Amino acid sequence: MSNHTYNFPFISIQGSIPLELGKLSNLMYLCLSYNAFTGAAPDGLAEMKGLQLLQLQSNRITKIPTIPRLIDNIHGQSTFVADCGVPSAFDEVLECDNCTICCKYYCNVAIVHFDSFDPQLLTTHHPPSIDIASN
Amino acid sequence: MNRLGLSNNAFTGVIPFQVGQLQGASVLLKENRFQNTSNTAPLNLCLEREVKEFDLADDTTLCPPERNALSNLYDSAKGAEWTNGSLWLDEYASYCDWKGVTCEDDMNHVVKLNLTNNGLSGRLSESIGNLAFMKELDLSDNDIQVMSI
Repeated sequence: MSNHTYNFPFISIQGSIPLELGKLSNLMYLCLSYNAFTGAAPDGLAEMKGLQLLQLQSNRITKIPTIPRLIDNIHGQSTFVADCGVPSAFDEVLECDNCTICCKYYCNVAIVHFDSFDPQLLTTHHPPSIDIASN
Repeated sequence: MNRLGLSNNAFTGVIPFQVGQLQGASVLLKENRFQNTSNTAPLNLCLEREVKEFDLADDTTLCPPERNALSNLYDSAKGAEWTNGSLWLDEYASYCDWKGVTCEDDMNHVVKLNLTNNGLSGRLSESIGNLAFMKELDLSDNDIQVMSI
C-alpha cells in the first residue's frame, strides 16, 4: 500500500453519505457519528427496511429523510442526527440556519414529524436533554 | 512477462502471491483445480493491482467479492493510516479475520464491520454497497468525509 498516494482535495470537497449505503438492505445498525459528513443524507437511508438504529450525531448533516422504520423505536436507544459538526474538520463555521440540533430523546419524537429540525422547536417541545457535544 | 498461461492443467493448492506481482501480465489460470480447496487467490492478484488481467478475477470462490469491497474501503478510507489495520489486505488471511470484520459462521458473509475510533479518513468507497449481508456498520469517531460520487 505504501506506493499508493491520496491526493484528494478533501478540504474543499463537501462530503456526503454515499448513496451506496442504501443498497445495504440488511443493515440494522448504522453508526457514523463523530465524523466529517456534510450535506443532506441520502434518501436511500429510508430504503433500509431493517434499520433499527441510526446514529449520525456530530457531523454536519443538514437533513435526513424520514425513515418510517425508526418511528416505532421511540423508546429505543436510537437515533440520530446531525448537529453543528466537528469544528476541527472544517474551515468555516456552519451557519446555524443549516444546523440541526438534537438530543437522542428529542430526535426520537421529532423524526415522526419532521424531515429536518428547527432549533426553535427545542423551546416549544421541551426536550428532556440536549446533546450538542463536540462543538 | 506479458503472459502467464497455465490453463487446462491440474494445478491445485495455493496460488503463489508472486503471481499477483507480475507487472502488466495477463495471468490465465482457468481450467485447473484451484477451486477444489477453500483457498482463496492472493488478494493483489484478484484486485488486478499489478497484473493486467487475471482470468479468474470474477470467480467468487477464489476472489470473494466481499474481500474486494473491503479492500476498496481500506484504500478510500486511508487504511495505511489506520490505528489498527491488522491483517487487512493480507494476501491470504481470510477477510473475516481482518480487524473489525465479523462474518457469519458458515458462509463467510460480512455481517458486522466495526472500525470505530480507528483513524479512518478520506471517504467511503462505493463498493461498500456490495457488502450486502451486513447488519451492523459502526464507523463512528473517525474523520471520514465522503466525496459525492
